Amino acid sequence: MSTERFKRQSFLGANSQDQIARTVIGVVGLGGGGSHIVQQLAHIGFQNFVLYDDDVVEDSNLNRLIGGTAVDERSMSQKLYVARRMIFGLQPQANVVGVPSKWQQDPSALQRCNIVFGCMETLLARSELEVFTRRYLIHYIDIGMDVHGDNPPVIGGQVVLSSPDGPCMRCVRFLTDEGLTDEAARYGDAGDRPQVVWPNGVLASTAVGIAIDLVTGWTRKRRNFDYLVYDGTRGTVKPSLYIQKREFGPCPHFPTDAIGDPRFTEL
Amino acid sequence: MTTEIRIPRGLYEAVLADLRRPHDFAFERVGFLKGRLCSPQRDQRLILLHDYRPVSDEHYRPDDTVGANIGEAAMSTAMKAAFDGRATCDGVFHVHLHDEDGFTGMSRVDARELPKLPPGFASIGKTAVHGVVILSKNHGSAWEYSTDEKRLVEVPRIVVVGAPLAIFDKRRLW
Amino acid sequence: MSTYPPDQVQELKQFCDKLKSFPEGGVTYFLMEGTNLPDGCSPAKCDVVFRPIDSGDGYMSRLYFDVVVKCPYARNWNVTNARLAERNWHAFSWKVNVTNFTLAQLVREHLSALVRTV
Repeated sequence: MSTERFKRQSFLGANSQDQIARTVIGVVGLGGGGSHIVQQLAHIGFQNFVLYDDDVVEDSNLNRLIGGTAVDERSMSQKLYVARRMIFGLQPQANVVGVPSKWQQDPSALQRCNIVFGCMETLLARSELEVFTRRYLIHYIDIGMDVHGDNPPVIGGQVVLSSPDGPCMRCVRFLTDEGLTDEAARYGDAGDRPQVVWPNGVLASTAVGIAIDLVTGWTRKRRNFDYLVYDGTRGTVKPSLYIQKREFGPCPHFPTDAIGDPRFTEL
Repeated sequence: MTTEIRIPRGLYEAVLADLRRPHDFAFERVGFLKGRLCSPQRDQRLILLHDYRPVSDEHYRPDDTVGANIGEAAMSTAMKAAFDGRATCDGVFHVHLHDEDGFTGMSRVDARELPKLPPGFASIGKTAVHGVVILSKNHGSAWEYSTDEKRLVEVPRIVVVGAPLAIFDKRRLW
Repeated sequence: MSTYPPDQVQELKQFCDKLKSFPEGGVTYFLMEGTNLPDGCSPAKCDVVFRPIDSGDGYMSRLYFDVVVKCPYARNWNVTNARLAERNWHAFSWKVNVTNFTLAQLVREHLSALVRTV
C-alpha cells in the first residue's frame, strides 16, 4: 500500500497505519448502517474483515445500501457480495471472511475480531452479541436508528461502545428490562421500520471514529465506553444524559473472570 | 492452528507497573498470569490472560548471575494455580519485563531457564495451556508450551484489549 | 448472580439426564441435558435451558429447547436461535405468571404446555 494514500491521516500517529492494518474488524449486518461502516473502514486502510449477513439486495434497500446498485437488485446479489466489492475495490490485498448467515449459526470467525460493529435491528440481538464479545475480550460498537411519531416524525439513534473492562450496555442503560419487554411484546418484530441513508451515515461515521480512536489512541481520551444519542431533528450527537458526569465501577453483568467459553457447574 | 493471546489493558498496565517496582536485590521482578484457553478445537485458539499474581518480595533468592531467581515457595504457588485451574482450563504463564523499548525476546538466560517451567505446570494442568510472556515498555512476546513437541512455541499475536488497543504481531494474518 | 434454594435445584434432576448451571449476563441458568418431553412430542428427549427469573423479556420464567419441538397442538415458537452458552435455542410463547412455585413446579408447568390444548 502506498504511503501517499494515507498521508492525509498521518495525524493519527506514527504507527497508526500499521495498527489499522493489523486490527481484525467484524461487521454484523451489512444493511444501511453496516454498508456505510464497511465503506469507511476500507477507505481508512483496514485490511482484515469478518462480515456477516444472510440477506440479498432488494429494491427497498436501495434508498440506503451503500455500494448497492440497481443491477444488484435485479440479480439478487448478496449484501455480502456488495460489501466485499467495496472493500476489494479499495484494498485489493484485504483478507475478507464473509459468512452468509446469522452470526449465531457460525460464530467461529467472529472470535478472531478485535472490534465488532453491530448493525442489527433488535435489542435482543444486540444483547446476545454483546455477551459474545465480552466473553472473548472484543470491543463492541453498536449503532441503530429509528423514527418515532408522525406529527412530525422524529429521527433518533445511538452509538454505544461496550468494552471488556468497561460498563456494558445495561450499565449505561441502553439495554433495559423495559425495552426488552416491549420488544418481546411485539414478538421482536422489527417490521418495516423507517430507514434512511443520512442518519445511518452520521451514526456509522461516529462509530468508525470511535473505532479509529480505539486502534490509534489519537485523541488520548482512553475512553472504554460511550453512549451517544443522535437527534435527527436537531442534527446533534451527544452523550446520553445518563452517562454524563457519572462514574462507573466494575460491570456487575460481566464479571472479569466470566471470560472464555461457557463454564458449567455440574449439580 | 494459530494462537492469539488477549489481555485487558487494565490488567496489562497493572502488570507493567508491578514488574517495574524495584526489588532490594533482584534485577528483575517476576509474576504469574492465568491464561484461559478458549475454543481448543478451532483453527484459531484464544488464550485470555487474567488474574495476575506477583511473586512476593521474600520469595526471591539473591543471585548476581541472573535477573531474578525465585525460590521453591514461589514455584509452589504457581503449581497450585495450575492445579486449581484445571476445571476452568486456566494455565499458568510466567511473566517478566525487559525494561526497554520495542520488540523484545528471550535473553540467553531466559532461553536457558524458562523452558524448564511449563512442563511442570502441564503435568498438573493437562487441559490448559501454559507458557511464558516477556514484556517490554511497549511491546510483548509470548510462548506456549506444546505438549506434542515438548518445547515452547512462539505465540504470533498478543492483543492488549482496551483504550487504546495494542497489537503485538509479527506476521501477516491468515 | 441469582441463587436458588439447593433442595429445589436438586429436584430439577427428575426431568433430565444431567443438570448443570451456568451464568450469563448476570443471570444463572440451568442446562438440563436429555430432558424427557411429554408423550406426543418429537423428539422424545432434548436439551433444555431453564431460566427461572424474568431477564427482561416479560416472561417470569422460560424454557428454551435445542430444537423446535413438534407438539400435538400448534405452539407459537416466537424465539428461534436465541444465543445462550454459545448454543442456539428456541422457545415458544407461554407465560407462567405464578410467584410461589418451586423450580420443579415451574419446569413441569412449562413442559406440560407442550401438550396442552389451550
